[in-house]
Amino acid sequence: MIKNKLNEIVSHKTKLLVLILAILSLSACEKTESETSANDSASTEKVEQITSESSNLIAEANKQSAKAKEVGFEWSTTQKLIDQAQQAEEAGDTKLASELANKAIKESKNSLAQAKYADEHWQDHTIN
Amino acid sequence: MNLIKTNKFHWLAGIATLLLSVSVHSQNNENKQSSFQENVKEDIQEFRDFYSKKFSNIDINEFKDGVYAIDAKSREQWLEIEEFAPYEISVEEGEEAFGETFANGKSYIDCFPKVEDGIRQNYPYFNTETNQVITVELAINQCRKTNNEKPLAFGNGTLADISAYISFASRGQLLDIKLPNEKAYDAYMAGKKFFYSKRGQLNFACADCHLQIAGSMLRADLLSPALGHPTAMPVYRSNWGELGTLHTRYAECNKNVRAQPLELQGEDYRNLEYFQTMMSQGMEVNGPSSRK
Amino acid sequence: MKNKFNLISAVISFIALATFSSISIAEDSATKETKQIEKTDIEKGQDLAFTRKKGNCLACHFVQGGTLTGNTGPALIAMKARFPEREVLYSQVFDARLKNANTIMPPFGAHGALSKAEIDLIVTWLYTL
Repeated sequence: MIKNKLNEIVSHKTKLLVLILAILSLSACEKTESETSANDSASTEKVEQITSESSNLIAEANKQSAKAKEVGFEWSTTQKLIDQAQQAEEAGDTKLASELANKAIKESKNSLAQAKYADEHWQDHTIN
Repeated sequence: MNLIKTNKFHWLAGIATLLLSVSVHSQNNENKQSSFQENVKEDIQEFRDFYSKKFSNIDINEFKDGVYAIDAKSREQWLEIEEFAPYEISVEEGEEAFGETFANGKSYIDCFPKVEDGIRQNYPYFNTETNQVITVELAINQCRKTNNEKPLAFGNGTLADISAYISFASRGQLLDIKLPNEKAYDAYMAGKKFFYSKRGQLNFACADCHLQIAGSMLRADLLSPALGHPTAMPVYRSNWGELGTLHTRYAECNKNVRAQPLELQGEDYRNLEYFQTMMSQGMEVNGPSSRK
Repeated sequence: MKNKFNLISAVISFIALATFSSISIAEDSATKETKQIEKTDIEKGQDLAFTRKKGNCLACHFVQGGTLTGNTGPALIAMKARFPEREVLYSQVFDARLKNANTIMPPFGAHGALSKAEIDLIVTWLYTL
């Protein structure tokens, strides 16, 4: 009898817990959504700042790839990255634009290193 | 008296020094001249030796057939294709274009040596006035320019057709590439450097695939030896479905290793062609050709 | 009273669940529509190794079960015995120049042809060979 009552209380409590959790999670869900939208509208200024940062990176990527081109060691993959970065920037995805521009800069630096290695070491690798 | 004597002595010493320095200088020049000629001769020998050793059962002169020199399996099929060669129309059209009369009444015949003697075997050559390597293709467009005609596009099309005709008319001649002076040697060395330098995201040099591991399989493709490549140009490749020049192929190779192709008939590719053709010195011209 | 309470809690939890699962389904289909069964790391590694635009290992290496394999590099067999240390094998794929300056093997990681995570998956797969 006491056991039964206890069970009832427990199950009652469990149900209450489920209910509270469900309500909480729903409201949490709504909250995050509203929060993000609030963030979005509040940070237009910030976005503009990031835009200029990513466009700086794209400019740097163009500069580095021009250097690589000048020594004749440009990779065929680099311009594609810069084009994609430009597109992402125009679409407002500054994070992706920065990422791609950084990758392009890295590629150009690697190809410049390749040119330098060739200057210094090409004769190490000839058959004569 | 003493004073005069010392003066005389000074004079003599001065003249002697001058003479000595002049003679040393000219000797140096001669030494240089003969030393870079010697260097190139050695390079050619070692290049040939490398392939002779790697493919010990193949006669050195067979390398003009490219990959089919080392691939007995596909050689027969290739010989059948050559019977009704896919480049035949190009040769015919090239011949027609070669005979074309320019607006000023002149033609290619006025720019090139006699066709009967063969042309291709002496190309590329180093022009000692402009200090640059002149390939057959560049010479075609230079001829047009001097005669006020519009240049043709490099790579494929009419220019490659004319190049094919020139090769065809030169078949059987032996490559005779000249190295006239030190500037020419510089161009040769620039080409040699290109050949041995790794480039592109995949980091391959021409020498990696077509020298070090020539004869190995890359997926389903057998890597062709660099020796003899220039004898067979231009080339009809079945995967292009058309005729292309040596520089078209260079650009394709560059793309394969993810390097941005350089300008066709630009200085880099011309110097590379100069080096590569020099390595095939003495081999028989057998272009145009067909390849897979 | 108790029944009513049960009903309410059930409805609310159902709504909660439905909202959640629909969100996650929407997200999934947005990122990868075809992804039905999650591939193992080994399978992912093999895919990267076989794909021409990624590792393209087969271009140069023989691999059991691979078609049109090249023979430029050593056959990929007994990897555990040949590379007891994972880092050494990882480094060979990342930048083979560290061991041999004039190697023919492309520096996949150093040149950004493959990401670190991708090389990790390939190494995991290599150890099954």
